[in-house]
Amino acid sequence: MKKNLVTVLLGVCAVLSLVALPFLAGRVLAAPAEPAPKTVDIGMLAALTGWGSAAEVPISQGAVVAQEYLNQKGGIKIKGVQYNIRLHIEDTKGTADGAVAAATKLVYSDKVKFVVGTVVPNVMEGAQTVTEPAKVLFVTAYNSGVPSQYSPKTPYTFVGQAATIEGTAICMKYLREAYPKAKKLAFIFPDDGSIPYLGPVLKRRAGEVGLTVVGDPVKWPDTTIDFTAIVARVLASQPDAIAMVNGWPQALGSMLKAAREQGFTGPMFAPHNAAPEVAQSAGLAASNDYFTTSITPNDPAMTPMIKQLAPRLQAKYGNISYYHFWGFQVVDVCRQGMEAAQSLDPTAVKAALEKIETLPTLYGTARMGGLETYGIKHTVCNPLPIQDLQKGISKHVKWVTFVSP
Amino acid sequence: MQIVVTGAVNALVLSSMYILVALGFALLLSIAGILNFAHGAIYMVGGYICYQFAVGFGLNLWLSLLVSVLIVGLLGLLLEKFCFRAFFGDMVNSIIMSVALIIILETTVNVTVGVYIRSIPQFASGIIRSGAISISAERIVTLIIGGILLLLFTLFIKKAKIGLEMLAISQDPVGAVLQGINIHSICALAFFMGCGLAAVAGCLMGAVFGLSPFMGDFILVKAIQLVILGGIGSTFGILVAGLIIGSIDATLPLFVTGAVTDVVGFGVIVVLLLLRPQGLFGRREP
Amino acid sequence: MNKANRKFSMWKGKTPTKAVIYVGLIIILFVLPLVTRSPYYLHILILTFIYIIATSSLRTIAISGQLSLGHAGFMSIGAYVSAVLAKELGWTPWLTIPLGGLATAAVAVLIGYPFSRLRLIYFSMVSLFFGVAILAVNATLSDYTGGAVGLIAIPPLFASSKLPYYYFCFVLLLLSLLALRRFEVCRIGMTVKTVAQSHWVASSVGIDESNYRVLALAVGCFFVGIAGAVYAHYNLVLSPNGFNLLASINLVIYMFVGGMGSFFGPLIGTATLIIIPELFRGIKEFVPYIYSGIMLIVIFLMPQGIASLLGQVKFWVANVRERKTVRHAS
Repeated sequence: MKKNLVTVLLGVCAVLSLVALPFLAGRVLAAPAEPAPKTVDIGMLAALTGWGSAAEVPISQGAVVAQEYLNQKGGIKIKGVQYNIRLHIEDTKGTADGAVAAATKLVYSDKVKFVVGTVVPNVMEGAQTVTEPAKVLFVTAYNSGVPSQYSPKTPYTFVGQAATIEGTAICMKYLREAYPKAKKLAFIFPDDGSIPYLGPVLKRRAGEVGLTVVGDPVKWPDTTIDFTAIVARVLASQPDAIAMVNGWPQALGSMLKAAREQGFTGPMFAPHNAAPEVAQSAGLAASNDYFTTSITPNDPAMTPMIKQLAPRLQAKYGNISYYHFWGFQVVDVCRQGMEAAQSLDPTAVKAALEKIETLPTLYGTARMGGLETYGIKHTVCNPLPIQDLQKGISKHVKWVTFVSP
Repeated sequence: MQIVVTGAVNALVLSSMYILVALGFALLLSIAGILNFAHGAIYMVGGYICYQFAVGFGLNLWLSLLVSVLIVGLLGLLLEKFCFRAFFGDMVNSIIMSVALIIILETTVNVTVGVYIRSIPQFASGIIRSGAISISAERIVTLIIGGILLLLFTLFIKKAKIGLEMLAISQDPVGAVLQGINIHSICALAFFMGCGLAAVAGCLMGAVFGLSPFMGDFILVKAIQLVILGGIGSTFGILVAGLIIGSIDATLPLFVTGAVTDVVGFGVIVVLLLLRPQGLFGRREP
Repeated sequence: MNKANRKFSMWKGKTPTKAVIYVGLIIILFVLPLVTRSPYYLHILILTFIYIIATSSLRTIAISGQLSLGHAGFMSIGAYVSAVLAKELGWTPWLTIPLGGLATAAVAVLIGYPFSRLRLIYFSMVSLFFGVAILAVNATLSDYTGGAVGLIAIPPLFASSKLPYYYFCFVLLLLSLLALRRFEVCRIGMTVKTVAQSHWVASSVGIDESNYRVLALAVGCFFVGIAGAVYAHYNLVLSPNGFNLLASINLVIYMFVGGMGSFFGPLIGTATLIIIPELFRGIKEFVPYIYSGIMLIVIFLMPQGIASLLGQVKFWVANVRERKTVRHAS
């Protein structure tokens, strides 16, 4: 067989088309650069390839929509001058090394002074090795509760929205309301280093609403596929309800499925894991008695801003994901900080965000919080919508705000 | 009691799935001499294709499974003809080829459908309850299908003429050619079967555990574990190794956290290999 | 000995053309940071230097007949040992980096003897899975290593800035390449290569092949441990993901694409596969296609690796010269 380049290229094309043919609906990410007289560069870090891209690609899409939307509404107004946002998206490949390379490019090559994005602790830490020394403002999309990713040692990092602790606290309160008979709560955490910290904090929050924590927190490694054994261990302590604190929807759906298969009918909840996606992963039979804090896009109780953004997202990307709003939020928080400080200097914006009382976000009015919990008041505590899953159907329940002390 | 039964059933389910994929991997290794790292990616593609036909086009689930196996088998034939035949016997370049394949397959799936959380609909819904024990019907069905396929495969290798020819090639390629066996067409068949088996596993696992563009990475390591432990060239070895590893993976997490399970799993294999470097039933190198 | 013959003599022959090329490259790379000043380009080059050391050390092991598919696992040993010692005990990185290298070499010796009994593909598969096993051990010792979250706040080698790191890594690279090259051409190295080619012949001459294979493994692992440790004190953040199976396979690919036959193969392969995809950052999530595209082009057009291409060019140039000389003579 002659090693003919043309034959091979044809072969590779044949292979590719065979694979891609059945699902040709692919969307190419396009970040349109808006040419404008004055621009402010905002860098975005997202895992476009690799683990975690399922969530972070929509986050970057949301940021793109934020750029378009905010620029249309007049951009950022600093001292009477309009600045349009210019978004630079870089791929972190879902790893700390990728984050370091991407952040280095953004900060030193593209010369951005503001960076947004990242969800997973070690990716965030990688980025911080670049952003913190360079005094670049970093608005993260999430906070998993690992102290090293967010503490007084990272003064230029802000958490763009209410995250793990806030979401779990809200869920625990709702548990008492919706399932008053459930008193004993068991925790499952991913093995990402958050247990030593989240464990005690969440136990306190649970106690505050009258829940007893049973059993030791069970942790599962990142690469777990089969959750049967892990769920079995949790069920051994006979809880009335299970809190799945963090994880991707795929994993949570598997946990839900495994629990239901083993006969557990009690409520299970997780912060920030959209019910429709969890239902996809868990299958119809298991999709009962699950709730979370996530947006149900077409519900009438959504905020006006969500109602404006939903059709845009649908038109542009063909679907609406909870993660889209995360991407929008972080860019918006940046803008709010800049306008509050009336400056494009990260240090000034940082100071302004620390002093700000309320922020109008797409979720509603938010307050800054977290001084006691994290040692630094850099978390945007916005209202969170509770979403309930019964018989495979997701419904919005209500909006709740929790400001971390 | 519940835990024991759950653990046992799970062990068998995991074992059978690992074995299906490992057999395909071992086939390619023994017969074509190729370390096909892309095998995990092919397993993943099988799962996604089944989803596309079952949910996207609304085809009957079992039919989708069959279609997926056929398409992936065809993919295997194409890979053999265009990609790997040129490097028959050239380990270095075939490794590069397989890695390039993984990247192409995973990236393509990721940029097209990776964003959506997908799970193949259950092959058998419902939970079988007997007394205090409840097992999902889905896992039982997976187990049965896996078992049947393994049985068929073993019979094929032992009895069918083509199966014996495969065995001959894996033992001594030169001798096989001298006997008049057409290596390239047997290789093509090996690719078809290997990829087909991987596709079945991908579909079944995709239903039980969900789909992800990177699910192949995990199964690849398992397949290699099985082949090393069982010994290259021995089907029986892979079966035994599959049961051992599947049992460890299913039962150990009941008592200790995940990372320790991996260490124990690897530890067992390392100790065994130090005592018996060719694996449990592998051929002693001359 | 006419001019054409001399061009094919070994590196020890020190032909003027080769010397000019080497010195020229060294000078260019030395002066580069003063010209570009961009921390981003320096970052890419620093990483390239570190990975060239890792890949070259992989080749050192490979020429002894053992293709290690778990090399990134060894790199992680060097990285974590050095980082944890520096972080927990407060020792200076200048001390912990060599210690990281030695620790990796020690592990290599430990497993080297039992595994040296394994031939070719068995060794490769076992090493693959040893590399993965290292990560599992890493995860269990998460109190020290940080587990899945990784290790942060690692004491840096130099206080901030990229410039000192650049020169340090560059010099380290030169020294490592020199050392590995000496090892390869000295008597011990030649014996290692003999053992790889035919262990029957080797044992018939009384060479204990186990010792030489383990030696090659230890030397290779020492250098990759150093590379890992330097990486740790440069990146300041370690994540097990960076040393997983894919990373090991990447190292092997760098070596193969560059060309295993040539000493400079790993250098060329690593530089190509790290720098070229970085140039294509603009196409974001399609970068992996560039990466696999390079691989496909190489295996079909230059099956012996990119380095062989340069060899072919030299041959062609010499041929043309030869013809010219002949024409003049006649």
